[in-house]
Amino acid sequence: MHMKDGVLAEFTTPEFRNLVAQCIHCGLCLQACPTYDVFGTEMDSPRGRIALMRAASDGRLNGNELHQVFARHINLCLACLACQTACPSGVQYARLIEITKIALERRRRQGLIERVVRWIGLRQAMPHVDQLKALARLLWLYQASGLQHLVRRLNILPAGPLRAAEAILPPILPRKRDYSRPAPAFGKRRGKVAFFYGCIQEAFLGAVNEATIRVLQRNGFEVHFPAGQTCCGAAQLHIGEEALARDLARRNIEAFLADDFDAIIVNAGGCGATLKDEYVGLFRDDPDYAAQARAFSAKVKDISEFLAENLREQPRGIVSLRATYADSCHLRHAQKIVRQPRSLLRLIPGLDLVELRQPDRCCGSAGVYNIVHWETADQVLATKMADIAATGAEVIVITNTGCHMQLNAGVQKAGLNARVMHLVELLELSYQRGEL
Amino acid sequence: MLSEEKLRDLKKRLGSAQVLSHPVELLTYETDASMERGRPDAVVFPRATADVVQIVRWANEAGVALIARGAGTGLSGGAVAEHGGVIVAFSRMNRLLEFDEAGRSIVAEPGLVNLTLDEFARSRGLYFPPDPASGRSATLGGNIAENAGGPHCFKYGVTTNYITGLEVVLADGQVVHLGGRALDYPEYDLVGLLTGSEGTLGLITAVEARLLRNTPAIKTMMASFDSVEAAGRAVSAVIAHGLTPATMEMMDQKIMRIIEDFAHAGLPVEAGAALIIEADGYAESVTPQIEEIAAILRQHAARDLRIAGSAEERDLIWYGRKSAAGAMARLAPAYYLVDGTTPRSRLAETLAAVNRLCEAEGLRVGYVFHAGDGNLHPFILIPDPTDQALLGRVWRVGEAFMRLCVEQGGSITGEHGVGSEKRQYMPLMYNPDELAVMVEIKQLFDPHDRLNPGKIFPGNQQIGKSASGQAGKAAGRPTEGAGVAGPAENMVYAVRDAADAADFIRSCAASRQPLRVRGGGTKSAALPALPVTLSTARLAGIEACAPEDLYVTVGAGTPLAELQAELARDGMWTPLVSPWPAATIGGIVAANLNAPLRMRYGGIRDLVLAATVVLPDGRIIRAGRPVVKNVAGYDLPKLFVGSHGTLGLITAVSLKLVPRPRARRSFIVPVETLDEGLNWARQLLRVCLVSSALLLCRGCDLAAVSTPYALIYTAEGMPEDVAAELAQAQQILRAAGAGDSLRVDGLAGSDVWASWLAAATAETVVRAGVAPKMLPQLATALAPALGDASFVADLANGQLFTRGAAVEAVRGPARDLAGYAVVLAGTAADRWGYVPGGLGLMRGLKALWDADGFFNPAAFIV
Repeated sequence: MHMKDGVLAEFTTPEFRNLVAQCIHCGLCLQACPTYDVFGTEMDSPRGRIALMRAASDGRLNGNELHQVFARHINLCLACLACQTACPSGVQYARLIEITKIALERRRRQGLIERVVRWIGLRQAMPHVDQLKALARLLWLYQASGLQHLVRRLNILPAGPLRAAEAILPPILPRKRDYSRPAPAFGKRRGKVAFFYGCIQEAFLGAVNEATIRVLQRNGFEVHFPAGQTCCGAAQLHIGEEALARDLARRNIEAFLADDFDAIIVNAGGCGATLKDEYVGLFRDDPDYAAQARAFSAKVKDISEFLAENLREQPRGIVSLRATYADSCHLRHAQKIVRQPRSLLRLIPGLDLVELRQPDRCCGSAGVYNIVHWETADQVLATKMADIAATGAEVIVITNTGCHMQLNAGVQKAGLNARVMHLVELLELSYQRGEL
Repeated sequence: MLSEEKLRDLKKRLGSAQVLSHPVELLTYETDASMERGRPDAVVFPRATADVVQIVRWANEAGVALIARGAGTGLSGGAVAEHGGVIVAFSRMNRLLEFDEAGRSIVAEPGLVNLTLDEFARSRGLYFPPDPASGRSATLGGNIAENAGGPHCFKYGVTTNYITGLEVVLADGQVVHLGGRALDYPEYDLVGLLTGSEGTLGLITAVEARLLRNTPAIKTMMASFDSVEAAGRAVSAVIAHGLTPATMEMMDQKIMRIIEDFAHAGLPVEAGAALIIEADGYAESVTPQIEEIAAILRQHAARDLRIAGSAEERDLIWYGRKSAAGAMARLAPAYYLVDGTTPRSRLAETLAAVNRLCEAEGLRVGYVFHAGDGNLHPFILIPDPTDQALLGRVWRVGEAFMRLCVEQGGSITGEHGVGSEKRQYMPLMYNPDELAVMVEIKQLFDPHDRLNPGKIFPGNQQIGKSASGQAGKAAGRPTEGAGVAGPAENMVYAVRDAADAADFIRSCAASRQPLRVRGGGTKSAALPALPVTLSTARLAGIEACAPEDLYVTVGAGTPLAELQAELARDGMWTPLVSPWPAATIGGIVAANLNAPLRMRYGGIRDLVLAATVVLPDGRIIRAGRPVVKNVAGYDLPKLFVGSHGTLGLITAVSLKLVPRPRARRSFIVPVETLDEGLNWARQLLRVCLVSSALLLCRGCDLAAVSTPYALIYTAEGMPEDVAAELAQAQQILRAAGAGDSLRVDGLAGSDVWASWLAAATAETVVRAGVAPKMLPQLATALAPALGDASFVADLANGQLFTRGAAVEAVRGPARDLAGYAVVLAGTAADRWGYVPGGLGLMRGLKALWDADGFFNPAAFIV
């Protein structure tokens, strides 16, 4: 076959070729894909993207094509991994899209504005939770001063990433939590766990972390907060910043392996998937470190997974609300955790849990997707909100930071009378009411 | 290649957002789920029928081929633009336009995904039975183009059995509406012809389909056997006991080992074969059914019987079977999934033969198959898809397998279609005349070969002379015999066999002598007499009876009563009922008069598997094959059902057999007023699952009923199902305030209907058809005109039969409801009173083989 110029080395490795060859293009992934739902076109479906990867691997695309039309369709992928669940042939789509994005990113020329935004966001803000918190305080001021109200009312932000970012800003609550010493177990101590509190979650959705800690304490766990921890690196990795992600991973592995914990608890499905599945892959060329990464990953547990196995205290307070559970893509499709959050919710007295028609359909958050590809994300979100609205739910239960912010924005846009809560917030509410 | 100018023109007409032309993006449309390849010049996404018309007009002006595509899940290359051209992708025409719960039907755009339809319908207690493995993504339009099957076809049939109407854009841009939501329109069954035509005859833009009631309960079991032969014998025994499981899936040891290595599903890998059997019906019935099946299996050396006690256990049993494709994909980067059908009783020997072939070629193979219907799927592993020698060996085995299927009377494809994958094998199955007939149809519909060119048919040189010439040339053949003395006048000639009939018909044509066809004489008597009559009286008797394979092949002149008596000896029957004792099978098929029991068993079109036909030009063709699953080429038998003998002489028919129902019970409800009767009937319709009639009659001769009207409800099948359904029906009637009904064991509503029709003397008998949900409206609208006239309303099938009323009085209201009214008996200026949407095509078909109209003239609309 005639090879065009510019075939990338990453696409001709035996690993990549084998991954691509696994796809027998049966098309069973199509309906699982949110972007196929929006566009109805093959190149925005998993099968189509793999066909493009195959073409790239076969040298059928030139450099220009690779970095323009090919990159456009690859980047439109939300990486929700619903296709991986749907695939009867076990295609490892997560790995395919990761390799492809990294290969493209390595060679991409970024504009000045993008470089600045990325430098601030991915390198300065997310890895440094104190700086994120400082930003959160500023934004709290923006909200508390009524400026946000005014901005939204006057509709002055032009359609674009800035407006999209503003729209997903959750209501920020000032909070104080001392991470320098562990939080003690309530009642008889059953073990000690380390809490991965994350970056955005910690700065903007502190209440979720509070509830997580409380629920763990209530169930007899001493909760530790290893000091050197940082952002998980998922956002960096998923837009191709592999080196940065590796650096963050190393810091986390070292922080959490410094002591012997029963488990490393994470409450965001997206972060959990990275901590569990992707850290090992990041060190595939460094066998010594890969062993440590494996030891780390083996201990990572999503909070719902951990509680389903270790729940001691029954939530007894009545929460008379109609609720629906929106699966976090990475909890469901990457971590394969489907049953546990639902069974925990069913324990809450009075809670009327209604399933969505498509509970596993992505909400459009997908890391920074809802900012970068805000137009597509809005369409994906609209479908999600219609599904949610049909249930008449008053509470939308989530298990991931991105979903939390995205669905908050969705509730606003759709004008629903519903609030978004993390699973642990709802559990904690029931515990609190049970104490009265 | 498509020029820039033509592309611009297309974008201007459709809007550029609906046209894809970037070469990189087009790469993603190079293939479907098959191994076929071809890059389209553009892809266009219509949003409405009007867009499709625009596209077709443009294609005609630009001289470009159009390839329809649903979700691209086909396995034979049907949606691949092999030689370029423009793909018409229906992914944006995917709406469910109407959901008719009461009438159990839908109207939908062709891009509607099976899964979407299924979820929606099931949430309302109904479902669409075809369940191809690709159903999670496949579209209704694709199902229709390929006549898709699935594991439940043994009991529930294939796609064509559920499609009642199509809106189609023809190759010249004309929009036609074929069929509709009523059943049995007075027209050639072009809906049946289009179904399975792989996008070569027209572009489907809307679909009207039937749904069934969800089965209330399902019970699943798995059993293992020492060998495939032993499992096959057990399946035969289950069928011989008169049981009809919803599905019977078999796996051989090879595939089980491959699956188990990866899925750890607990498959019995030490066994030679495993069967998954599912029984469905009412909760009261599935347990005794599965227990009876289990007992039969045990008598046939089954081991390790596992009966699922919960949904989780059921899922676990299916998990292994459903992991087959994934397990194969892990073993090799590619595999060839072959598809063919043999008569069910030949499965084991076919499989053994394929095993030998694969061993000889050094190939690894495993099997999953639908043991109930004989559809076999060998999976042949392809460890290196670039190894041409290896591929050659794989194709050799594939071809040998297809030859075997054909030799045994089966088909080269049961559900995947011909496409470009199997077109070179079509001559294995069809002789040159049979292929030529299909090509002539293609040429009639698409004279410039614009729609999916190159698919289905092998290269022209193999097809025969007619392929390269104009359609209808073949009809000229009889004139070669000019000069031969024609038959004497006023004669009735009873042909001996198909060859004799062909000679006779040719000589009539040569002497330009019009010819009347006569079966039992029950209908042809009403037609204008002609000097020459061909009788099928000598084409009588059973040619082949295969109760084990659930079909019978019978001469067209055989009286139905005689056939049923023969079949009864094997505990079988063919679910046909005719009012006239002398009616012959050929006549019944040609006239397509369906009894109420079609709601339970399907119509005549669904029961005819194959037919031998002598065309008006003297060619003899065998249309279809005596297997439930056969999608090789056009579904020709459909053309002859209901064509009133105008397209050819049917000399033999293969009919689907079903076990005689173990129980049949009816109840009769006395009804005082029409409104009351219709109201109760409407409520009863929701229950129908194993019912074979729901009739509202006036003036039927029923002892014990003194009210003006009577409702008759019949259920048949497993005794537990019948009891459960009648109990539900009675409950509804009680809640509605109906008086005591009369239980009658053994009575069938279809028999009541038949004797009512047979009792007609000199009166005019009219058959009106509307969408089933409209029937109450039709009956109400007709009430004043009908006065005291007698009628039978068949509510589930949307048919209303009147005796003694003027046809015009019935026709007006029926037409107002998008229906029709035809005269069954008696005189009328216009028996049909209906202009089919496809009348032009019907005339074209007739002219293909009988340009001069000498064959059975005036017998039908054409």
